Amino acid sequence: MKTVEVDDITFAYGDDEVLTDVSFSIDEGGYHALVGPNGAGKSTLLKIVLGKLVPDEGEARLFDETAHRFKDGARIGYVSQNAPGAGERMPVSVREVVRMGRVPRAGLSRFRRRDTEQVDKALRRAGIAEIADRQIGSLSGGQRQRAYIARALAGEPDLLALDEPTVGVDAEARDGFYDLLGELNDDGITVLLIEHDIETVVERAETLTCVNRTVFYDDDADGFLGSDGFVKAYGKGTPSTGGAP
Amino acid sequence: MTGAAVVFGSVVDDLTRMLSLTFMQYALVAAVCAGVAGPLLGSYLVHRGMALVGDALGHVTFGGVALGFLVAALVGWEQPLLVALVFAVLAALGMQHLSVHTDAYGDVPVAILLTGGFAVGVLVINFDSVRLAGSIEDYLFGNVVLLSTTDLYVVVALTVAVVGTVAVTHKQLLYITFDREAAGVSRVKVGFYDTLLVVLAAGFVVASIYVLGVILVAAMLVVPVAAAMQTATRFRQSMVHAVVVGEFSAVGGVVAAYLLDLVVGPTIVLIAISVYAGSVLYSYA
Repeated sequence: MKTVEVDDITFAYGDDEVLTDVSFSIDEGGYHALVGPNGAGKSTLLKIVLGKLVPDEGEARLFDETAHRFKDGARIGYVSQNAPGAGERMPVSVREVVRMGRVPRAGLSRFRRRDTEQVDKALRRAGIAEIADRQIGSLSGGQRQRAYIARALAGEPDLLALDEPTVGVDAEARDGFYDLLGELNDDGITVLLIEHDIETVVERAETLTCVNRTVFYDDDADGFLGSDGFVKAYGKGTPSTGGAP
Repeated sequence: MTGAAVVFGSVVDDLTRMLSLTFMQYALVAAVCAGVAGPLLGSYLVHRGMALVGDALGHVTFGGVALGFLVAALVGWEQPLLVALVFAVLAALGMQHLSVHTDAYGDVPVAILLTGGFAVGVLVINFDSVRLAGSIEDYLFGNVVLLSTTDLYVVVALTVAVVGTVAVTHKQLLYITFDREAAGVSRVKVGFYDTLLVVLAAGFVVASIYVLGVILVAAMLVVPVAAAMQTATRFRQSMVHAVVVGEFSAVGGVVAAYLLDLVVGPTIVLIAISVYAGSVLYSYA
């Protein structure tokens, strides 16, 4: 069964077409990377996959439903590049942030024991149980990203979507973060990752789609660096780490 | 008796007299309402960079009250607070519509609402047929003497509605305040809760007009929250701190204004700002 299916998507902001005839899919339990140079349309594509944008042509499907009509938000865990910006100045504890992951499950009801148990479990899984009462803004970049992945886990998701989750995170914390992501994938959670560090992606992901407005590569991750698609998408100054030339 | 004891006795006498006056009982109830609803809503609005929404809604409420007196003059239905509530809610919905569906960005819809609402008010009160219950200053800066029994019922009902709605939707309001992108991905109806928040703010502003006035009402949304930010590390804790500051300022302001013969609204605001200044000093310590 496919967790994500993207079928011949075309999307434009006004007259500026940013995606043309893009197709790829992710099997249930897969670890899929989405790469491409800056401005290639990766984040737009992710928003379409998550149902936050509607394609002009083609269709994105989540769990076999049209993505923008998909209602069960608890099945999607989302960690973004610089989540959540200004919100980190708020007096909000790590536990309160992680508890937000239970909102789609709880709805308007009060949080119940199961919600609390899942929050505690997610905190432990992300390795941040001991800092659960600290203010989110006081954490390091690596700790914060773990808090956001714990928030995603608290909802008991089937799909984890991450948009450059380790920007601004030091190398050691980044390795730890990707180790955790690998363990979660081993547990059966489907992973969709946008990452600018190609070496990390090739090392960690199973499958990979390279886009630069259209698809240049869509196959196993470990074959990407030797492919024509890699050269064509990035040009001569192909990156090893740090993104587009 | 010592001098201090005499002063204390005098203050107790004054307070006893104050509590026997119906309009001061009304004022205290309205102050308690303002002190709880304002900081609760402000806890979301401030952290979303929407601190001035209360100011805009205050000016709209002035227009709404003026329209209320116009309605009274034309058809004899004397419920200016209810007319103001309808006007403020419609304006809040309009502001949300402008924000979402036009290319107006940032605080442009807020500025349009603020100036437009006040313009309506000034225009209408200058109609010959319109007779305000008090002076313009009473509405600009608040005057608890104007609170009628019906007004008090409206104030209490609005406050119960605000507090009850916040209690039920707190999880969603916090999520969209902290990280609206992730909340949207989780299928929290961000647009609905945005609108709900400004409509609740309109209800609070209308409920507080006689205590704080349209010019000063935004202070109760902003200042207690700013003070709580200096002392709290958790959101729920910050809401409790903000409500404590709000109640201290609102009730303390009404009592101080009575004892010292001051105008209520500015007294409340200055007490709140004093607490805020103290909390900033505390955070430095």
